[in-house]
Amino acid sequence: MNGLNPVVSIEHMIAGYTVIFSVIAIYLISLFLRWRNLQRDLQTLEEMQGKK
Amino acid sequence: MKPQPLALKILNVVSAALFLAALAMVFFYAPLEETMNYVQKIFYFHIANAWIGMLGFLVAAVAGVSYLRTHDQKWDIVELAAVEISLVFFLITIITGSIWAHPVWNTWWTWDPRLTTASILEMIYIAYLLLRQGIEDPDRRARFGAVYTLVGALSVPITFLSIRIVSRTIHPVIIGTASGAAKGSFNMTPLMLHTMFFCLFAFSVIFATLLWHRIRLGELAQKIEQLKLKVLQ
Repeated sequence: MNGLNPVVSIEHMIAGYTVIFSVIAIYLISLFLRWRNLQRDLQTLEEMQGKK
Repeated sequence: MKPQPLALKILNVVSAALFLAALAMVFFYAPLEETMNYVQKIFYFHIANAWIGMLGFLVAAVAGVSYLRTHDQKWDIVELAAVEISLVFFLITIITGSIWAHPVWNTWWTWDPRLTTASILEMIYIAYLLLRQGIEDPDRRARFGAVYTLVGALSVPITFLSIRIVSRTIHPVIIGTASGAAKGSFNMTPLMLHTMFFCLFAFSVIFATLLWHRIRLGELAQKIEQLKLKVLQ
């Protein structure tokens, strides 16, 4: 295999790392949002239980 | 729910530091590969993500066995957490592999044994998540999950060994003997090896941290389910 065109090679490297950062970031945000929603649910349920 | 334990807070910081250090090693420590040059730098994170993916599926199988032995719901939470994290990292592996392949193989995708088995592995565990959602009874769901992950884990060694068993593969074997048809193989210099092993270590710590967070999320969800039943009664 001859050497790859550096421009093409850099473009693909950037694309690869963009995917890595984006997917990890989306997963971390999803963990955070789910945690926050569950905390809200817990708070609501505890209030309902207190009223009972 | 209890606040984050100190050990988890420390792991958060250590994981972030290791991630940055791994990036620094990839870009400033590992030498540029002569033929593929920059795109080869995807390899370090690609392989680390694949490692976490496979590790998580095996952790899920161990948690499944533990559930079948003890019938303790906590193992179901561990199992689900491990599968979810592994799916994310294995998806990254598949996409980054495809991006690397485009300039090196002149195609985004080919039905090579490794690519095929990796796709099947990912789909097996996507199906696991979908099928779980259809079962309401927690015990039945956990039992199903345990058996499923146990059987599903068989596809992990198949995926790993596919390029070592099948001789007609285009996928390079980095450690071991590559097939004659492999395209994109390269000789690992010591600096490249250091970087690869550091990335594997860094991502193992990141996996442990994420697993702990995801388990805490599962425990919170379980607590809410129990509280809902109490309130509705």
